[in-house]
Amino acid sequence: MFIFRAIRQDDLDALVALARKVGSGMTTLKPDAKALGARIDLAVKSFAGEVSPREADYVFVLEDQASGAVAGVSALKGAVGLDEPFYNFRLGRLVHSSRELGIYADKRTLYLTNDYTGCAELCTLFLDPAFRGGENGRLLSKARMMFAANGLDLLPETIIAELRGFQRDDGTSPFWESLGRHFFRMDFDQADDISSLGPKSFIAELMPRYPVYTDFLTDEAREAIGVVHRSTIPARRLLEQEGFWYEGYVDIFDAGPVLQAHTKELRIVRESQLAIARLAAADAPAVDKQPLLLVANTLRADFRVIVAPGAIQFGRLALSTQQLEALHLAEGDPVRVAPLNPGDKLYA
Amino acid sequence: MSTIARLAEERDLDALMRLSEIADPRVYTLPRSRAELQRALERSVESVSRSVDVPADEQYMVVLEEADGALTGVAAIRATAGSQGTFFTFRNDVIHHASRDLKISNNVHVLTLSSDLTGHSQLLSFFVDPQRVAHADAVLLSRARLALAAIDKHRFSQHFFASLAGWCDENLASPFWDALGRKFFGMDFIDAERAVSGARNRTLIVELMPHYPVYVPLLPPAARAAIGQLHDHSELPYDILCAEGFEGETYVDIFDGGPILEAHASKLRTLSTARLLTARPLEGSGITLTAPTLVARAGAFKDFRCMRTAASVHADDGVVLLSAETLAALKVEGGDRVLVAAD
Repeated sequence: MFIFRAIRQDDLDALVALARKVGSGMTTLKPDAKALGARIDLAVKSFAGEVSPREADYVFVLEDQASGAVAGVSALKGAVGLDEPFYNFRLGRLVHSSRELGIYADKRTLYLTNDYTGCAELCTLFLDPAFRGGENGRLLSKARMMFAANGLDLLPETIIAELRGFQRDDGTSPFWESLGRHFFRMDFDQADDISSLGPKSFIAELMPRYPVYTDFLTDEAREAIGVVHRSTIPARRLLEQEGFWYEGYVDIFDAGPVLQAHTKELRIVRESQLAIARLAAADAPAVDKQPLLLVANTLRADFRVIVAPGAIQFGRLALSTQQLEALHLAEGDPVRVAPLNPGDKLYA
Repeated sequence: MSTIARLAEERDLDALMRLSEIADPRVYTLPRSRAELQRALERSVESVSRSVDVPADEQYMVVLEEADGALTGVAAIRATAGSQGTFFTFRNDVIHHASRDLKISNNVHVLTLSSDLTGHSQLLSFFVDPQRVAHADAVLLSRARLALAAIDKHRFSQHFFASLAGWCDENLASPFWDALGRKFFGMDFIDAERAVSGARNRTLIVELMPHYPVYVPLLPPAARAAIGQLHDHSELPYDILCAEGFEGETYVDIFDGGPILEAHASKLRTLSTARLLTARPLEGSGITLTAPTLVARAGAFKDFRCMRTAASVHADDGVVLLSAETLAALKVEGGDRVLVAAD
């Protein structure tokens, strides 16, 4: 069984080991013990309610209960852009039209904005390749929304997720080559590194301040706007099924799409229900036919989620002893329950 | 008799038609059809006849007339560019982007659609028959337009500019246009020039051209190279204007990226050295040492005539001594007022 849970101080070594498997391209998870240690500190304080909701950074791990191994990591930030600016390009349009010449041209433009300032963000998701398959990927991503459902008062109205943008087979970004390079004069990875680690003021200092007509980009760069990296296509689909949509905001470096959702309108937030945990009878029949559920406890500091087949009956959800232990719950405690997959039912 | 520059008259239509037929198609502001040419002539004659306090949409056409009466050159000056509209150019701007943290300092070159030159007087439609016209006479034709402004300041702005043809290939394809204007007009360069009749004051320009600064580093190399790049065929007017005191760093044409030369009147040789003096015959004065000078008849505006000739200037006495031949060519008599400017 895999358990999604709040990160702890003693996860640092496992997290650093996990970060080593990431490779390049994920700027928020570098095998840097100091930086990750600081992030865990903040996460632990966030779960403990010791920082304001706006400063909170909730980091979760996926634990293989059998071995105790950390199989993956994901995070939910309480707000972005409040201590340093959070930049995106907004894809706008300007219609240039001349009745006299019979010309009507619908032009796309990129505006540098901070429009998502103050929004919550789903971020830093990585699942160890050795543990891919089954429900692990979905648990690692979607259980964050169970946390949101438990703590709507802690989160702003809008939640976003930045997705990795399109890259060529050689790992270069056509969008960067056509736009950012002219302003930064450095490679994409270098700029991205600085952006993730250091102060972000340099983005405003160096990036185009006026809207850029996409006509002036190369065809390849224009076609990459709002397009995710090949490996990110499933993640995009997952988020879109959960209530996220693409509003025309993209990353300023690789033009990867930013997806947004109303926190209260997330499928999991809307569909999840509170139920009372009940100990399943030891001789209960196998319940393979029942849909998979996300089952979460309602704790903040020791938040835990598992995937289990089942259904709510009379306001109760039957869980095995192991499942209750995995959730750090006893019979009679409340649980939050939502169908893992869209379209499935909570009730028998 | 020598070559003179004078205001065009309606009887010049046939000669101008012949001239326009051999003119380079890149002189986009020169009318091509007989009907257009006739309208331009009528406009000039009508402009001359107006009593002007504040310059408006007047446009004056000046011709170069050889001693044998042949017309070998034509040029025009518009009292205010963009009259009844806005005259658009691209302004070369530099945006400084610096990051102290990254130790990066970029000067980013942008082109901003600008109306700065609206209301300035514009020199345009310059063409001389290259087979027949000596350089000095080409200079005379070009400067005659500024002599007009020296004679009647009220008819012109104190700021002058000229837009020179930018770089294009033998098929009249412009790399600057292809990278920029074409994106917004969706047509060939020369078709767009025809659509606006070479004008830069049409509403459709602001309707179609980019509203925000264009980042030059995003343009392809051929288009970048064409910014401010003069077409070979425009070297003559360019050189004449530069010698006059015009400078061109700030503005370029919105269609082909060609250079725009501009200057305040005080920087221009013709206007800054112009004096109104009384003409006296040289003969009998005992003076023989004379220097080439620009001299123009300064009587009624419509009778403007201008030539480059030997003259003995006595500015302190308010007098210029001119040969009988010059007086005759300018249709001036001793005692008449003439405008004199340094060669």
